[in-house]
Amino acid sequence: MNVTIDQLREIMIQAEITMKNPAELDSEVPLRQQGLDSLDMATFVFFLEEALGITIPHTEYKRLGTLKSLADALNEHGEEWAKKK
Amino acid sequence: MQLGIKNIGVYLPEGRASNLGKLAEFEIDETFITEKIGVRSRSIMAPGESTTDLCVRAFADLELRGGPVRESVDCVVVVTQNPGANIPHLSARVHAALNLPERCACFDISLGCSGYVYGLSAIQAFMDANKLSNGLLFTCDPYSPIIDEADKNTSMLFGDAASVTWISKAAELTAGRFTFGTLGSEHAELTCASPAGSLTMNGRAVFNFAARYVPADIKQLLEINAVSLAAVDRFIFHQGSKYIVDTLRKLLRLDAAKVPFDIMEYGNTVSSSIPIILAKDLGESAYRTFVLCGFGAGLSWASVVLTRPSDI
Repeated sequence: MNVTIDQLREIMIQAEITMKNPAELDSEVPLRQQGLDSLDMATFVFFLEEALGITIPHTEYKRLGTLKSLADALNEHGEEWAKKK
Repeated sequence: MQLGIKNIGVYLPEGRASNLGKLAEFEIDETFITEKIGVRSRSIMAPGESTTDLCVRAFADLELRGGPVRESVDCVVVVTQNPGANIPHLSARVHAALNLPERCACFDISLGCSGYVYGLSAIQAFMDANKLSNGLLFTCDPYSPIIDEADKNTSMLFGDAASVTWISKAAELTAGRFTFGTLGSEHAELTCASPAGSLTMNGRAVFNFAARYVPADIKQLLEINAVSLAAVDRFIFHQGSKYIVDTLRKLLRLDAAKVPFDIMEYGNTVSSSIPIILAKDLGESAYRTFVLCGFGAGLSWASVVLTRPSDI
């Protein structure tokens, strides 16, 4: 899987997470520190899973802290997670 | 003439518990409560108030709105998973409290937030098959006794309430085809293991379930009823939280004016959440076509299209 940070920002726009403009999010600062609450994160993960056709295991949620760590996790495990759907 | 919804009575206990007192404990702000959870205060049944009392008070409201003559009631169904006592069934206790006729069928249905829609289908089919005339479909599922006030996932959501829907001919609303579904493999995501236990909920899992299954179900429902999305005046979703109702509205690209959210001052009342709103909308003659969808414990969902009989 080849997912870019810009793709993740685009999915965030589709999810209508409006706490902050996704284009302004620092890709290396935890999203929770940039105004996204737990429900925003749940929405983002749902739209992400739908867009990419994957199911992210609950045990991997801790890796979803920043846009960069999320892109890294998807590129490392995305195909494996797609098979689990 | 088809059986349908003639009128609806509602009871919300006067007691309230505020969520604003939980801001520091759960490290949240007021905006999270009003814009995400959508519940500022929760209705709480009074000490000593029983599930039977809640149902009787809902019926009193129905009588004020022109309910049925008690002697004519021949069917009572109660949707509940918190009946107060397991034996006998709550519908029998309500039957006694309302002094209803002996020739009256009574049974309970064990379902949570999908229960009102399931209940509508069950009571109408049962009444139709057995040539009954005046049915009462109660919803009464007070969660306050099973909530752990220290649990952030559940303690700010639920409110106590009851409703009663009068099912009869010459109805205000009649049902088209229903859709139902169950994801039993995920049942542990929303559970209360024992009568004395507390409710536990994996909020993310329940959210994912609703966001994934409800929009697809609504589309299928409309297709089998030959109704377009644009032709629906009101989409009454189970009021799980503001966050889930908003998400369903976005996923289905619905006009916000068609999707009521009503629970800010009383909370998620489980199977009562849909009839509480429907009771308000019933008298609005401009609303001709409704979609109802309940979803929750099971994990379970059910949907139906309701229309004014004159439109058929």
